Amino acid sequence: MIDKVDIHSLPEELLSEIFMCVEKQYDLISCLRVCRKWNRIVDHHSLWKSITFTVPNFCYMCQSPKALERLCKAKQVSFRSVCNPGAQPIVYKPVTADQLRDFFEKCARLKAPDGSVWSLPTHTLRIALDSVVSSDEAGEITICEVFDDQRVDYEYSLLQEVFPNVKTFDVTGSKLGWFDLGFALRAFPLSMENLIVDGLGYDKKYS
Amino acid sequence: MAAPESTIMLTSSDGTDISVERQVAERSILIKNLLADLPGEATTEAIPIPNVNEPVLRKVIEWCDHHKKDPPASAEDDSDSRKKSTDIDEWDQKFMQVDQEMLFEIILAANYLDIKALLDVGCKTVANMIKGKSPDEIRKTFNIQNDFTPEEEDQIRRENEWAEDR
Repeated sequence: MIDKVDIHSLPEELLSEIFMCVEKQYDLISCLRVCRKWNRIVDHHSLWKSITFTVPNFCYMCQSPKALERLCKAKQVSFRSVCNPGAQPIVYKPVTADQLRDFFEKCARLKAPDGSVWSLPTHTLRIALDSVVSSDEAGEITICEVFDDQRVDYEYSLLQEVFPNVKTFDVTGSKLGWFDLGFALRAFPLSMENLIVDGLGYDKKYS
Repeated sequence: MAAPESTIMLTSSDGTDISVERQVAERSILIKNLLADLPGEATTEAIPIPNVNEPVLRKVIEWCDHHKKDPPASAEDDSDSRKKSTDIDEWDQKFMQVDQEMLFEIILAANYLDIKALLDVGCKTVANMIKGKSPDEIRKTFNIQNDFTPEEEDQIRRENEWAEDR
């Protein structure tokens, strides 16, 4: 046969079908880096149904518009916590300075009236930034823990389409470290109205 | 036993006639629609399949034969569960243990003949070949040329650093 059939013989829509079967984002990211054609196809948002990241990495990710765009289109978003108390904190730039300030102000008004320091949690902490949102409210995030050896995964199932519409962030009973949580808070879209942190087992000041 | 199945004839791109049970051939939506449009007697004539050569067509028919009792795929079966690359059934996995050329031939044929389930198995098989590989290993596996400039490569790497820790 003269024309050998190989992966180059496939039209783009078939390559796209293949990438849809690639489940792990790490693999998808490898695909992004293979060649220009693959990069263009894989970058298509509809392929990014599920995104997982570590919390510090999430902050980093917020600096990549493309990555953020993917995140907003993703149907499911998973946090992977680096539960490593010995780790050196790495400082990432927050989403935007304005959002961060706004968020810290809201927290300060509620928890630390002096405005400079607010604390994250003893064993129970509930911050209702605005009114209480019922559990069937659109855009709630729920977390379930998945134990995988020493690592703890936090899976956020987005019930509604987009991330920025999330109103409630509930880490009740999770083992999310204060350090990671700090990053989560910094990075989290700040239209969030509820923060529920319960039974973390940590007692740390966060400023 | 059921009455003898009606058979039809398919002609591959290289001119070979292959006789197939109608029920088997109808796993292909293309053939099914074609047959539905033909008047009764015309189905005795061979149907040309111009895009698929004999070895590939035989392979596809083998798959259709094994899966002839499967419930027909619903038109809008676009659920995410369909796309799980881990769940290729055992027989299909064995069936797909072919060289790359045949694998891509099967995918192209399944697409042309409109056999969604076979197309899925093919795509999942390729996806499994991608799994766990570095970009460079993927290029080697599929003989793909890296056409990025070093600058572009660097930029894409940086852009995706956030998820690279695994």
